[in-house]
Amino acid sequence: MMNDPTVLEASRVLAEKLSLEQTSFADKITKAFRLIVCRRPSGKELKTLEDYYNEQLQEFSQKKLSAQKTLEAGEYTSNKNIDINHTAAIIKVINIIYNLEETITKS
Amino acid sequence: MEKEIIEHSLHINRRRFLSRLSLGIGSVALGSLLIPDLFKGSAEETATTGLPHFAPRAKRVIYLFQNGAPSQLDLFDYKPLLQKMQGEELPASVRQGQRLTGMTADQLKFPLAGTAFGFNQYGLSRAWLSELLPYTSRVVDELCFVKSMFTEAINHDPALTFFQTGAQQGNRPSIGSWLSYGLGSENKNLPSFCVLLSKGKGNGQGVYSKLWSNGFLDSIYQGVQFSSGENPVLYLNDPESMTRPERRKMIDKIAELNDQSLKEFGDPEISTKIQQYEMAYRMQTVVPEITDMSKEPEDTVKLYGPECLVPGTFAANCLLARKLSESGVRFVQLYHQGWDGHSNLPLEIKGQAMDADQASAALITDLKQRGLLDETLVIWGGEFGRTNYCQGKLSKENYGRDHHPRCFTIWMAGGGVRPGVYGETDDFGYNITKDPVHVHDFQATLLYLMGLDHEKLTFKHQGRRYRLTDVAGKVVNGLIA
Repeated sequence: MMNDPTVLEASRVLAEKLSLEQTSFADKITKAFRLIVCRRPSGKELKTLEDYYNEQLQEFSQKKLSAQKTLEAGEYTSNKNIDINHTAAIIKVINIIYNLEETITKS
Repeated sequence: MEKEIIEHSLHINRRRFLSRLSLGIGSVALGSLLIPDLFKGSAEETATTGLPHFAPRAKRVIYLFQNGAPSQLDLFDYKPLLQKMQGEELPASVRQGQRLTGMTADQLKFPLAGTAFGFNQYGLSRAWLSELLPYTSRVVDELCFVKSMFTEAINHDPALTFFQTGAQQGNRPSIGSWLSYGLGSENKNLPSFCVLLSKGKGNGQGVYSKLWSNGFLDSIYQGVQFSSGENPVLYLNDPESMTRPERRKMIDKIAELNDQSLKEFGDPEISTKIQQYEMAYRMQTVVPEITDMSKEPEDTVKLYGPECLVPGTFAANCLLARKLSESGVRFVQLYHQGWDGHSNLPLEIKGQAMDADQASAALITDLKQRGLLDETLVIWGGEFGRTNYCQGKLSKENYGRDHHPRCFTIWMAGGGVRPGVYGETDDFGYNITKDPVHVHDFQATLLYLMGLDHEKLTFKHQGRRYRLTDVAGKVVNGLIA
């Protein structure tokens, strides 16, 4: 699930779309969470994901991780207007949401 | 209802206490041993305390399952009488009203079919082996041929399921799951139960994941199937953008979130998922090394045959099985498909034997050379036998054989097994005349060799205790060295 190209591409495309929306980060993550897990994240969950996002954003901005490579997933045409560091950090957050037990398990 | 709700919250409290305790000690293994106890709600001892029950003779198992049921009459159980009586009717006194499958029940005649292949005796045990198994004939002194196996099922699916889980219906844990439940893993970087599939050119029968299912045991005990292609574990490699510390951080975040929902819902499957992500992370470093065949020395390749470098072949799987087993995988389950010789059996079995013979014998030699055979139990065999009478048209060169549950041959080697020949069948190769071994007896013996008492390795589910051998089975002392 973490390395499956389908999941990686889906994360990228969703992240690109969200990054272009004029909403707060919390709103973007809530939207992704609702789309994938079908419920709103709890305050604690949102906080965990927000912390992770900020940490990732810093790593991408300081070039400790490559945002460009993170964006290289799948064939769907990339949107040129995105901020690559922000989008890469959102990709990572969405990756986590896709890999939650609650996402994978139907019950 | 109120009682259930109170019980549920008690469980959650107990679970919280225990899971924190085990995390505090930092032992995932201890945690997983504690979990079976959590929902019992009594002070009763768990089925996995005090394991193993006695000193194990084998530490690991490699099971070379020959899926589709190879013909014992053309490989191991030499019956010259059938050649003498070629074409004559199977006497009713021999058949004794035995039920037949729908495939031959309507046949007007049941002409006896002698094997088209030559047989010779080998080794100290003077075991008979067909000319189809030249490599196996050279390792006979390591093998124990059980010629008196019998089963209750007459069709592939129930017979396979019976062999693997002790029940024909397919809702029970597989042997490998029972072993990893009872004995745990020797190598925390690899699953303790791995499954490898290969396919011959003969008439094939399916294999499906219920055969390596954990049944009602915790999902961490289910068999992990390696795929037969270039990459045995798909998507194991991280994308280029991912670094190891970064992957670690991500798995920790997922665990943190999963743990939040574990605390809220108390579903043990959530903690299983957390452990599986940990396992996947650890496998990322170990598996590529084990599955890389390019560094195998030339004599190993020669031993297993050139096919062992072609991913997905039986030979490649035998070599991979040795490497996994050597690395501490408790139970490696192979399935080789294509033994279902209803028609054109002589032609098909030739190809099948060619696939299986060299690599099976190579595995024995290889384990022995590495000093591992003593502690590794190797099993070779199918789910039932084949009939002594012909299915379809009989000629000297060509015949088919239907399913025969009343007797068949398997072999075992290493891990505390006494080499030789065990059990006998009658001159028609139809009924057992000496020392019958039921599938449950085989399973009880297998567990015994692993240091487990088949009557004590239990799991309580839906109000009763289950075991691999259900309510039957006895250890066959004659098979044990």
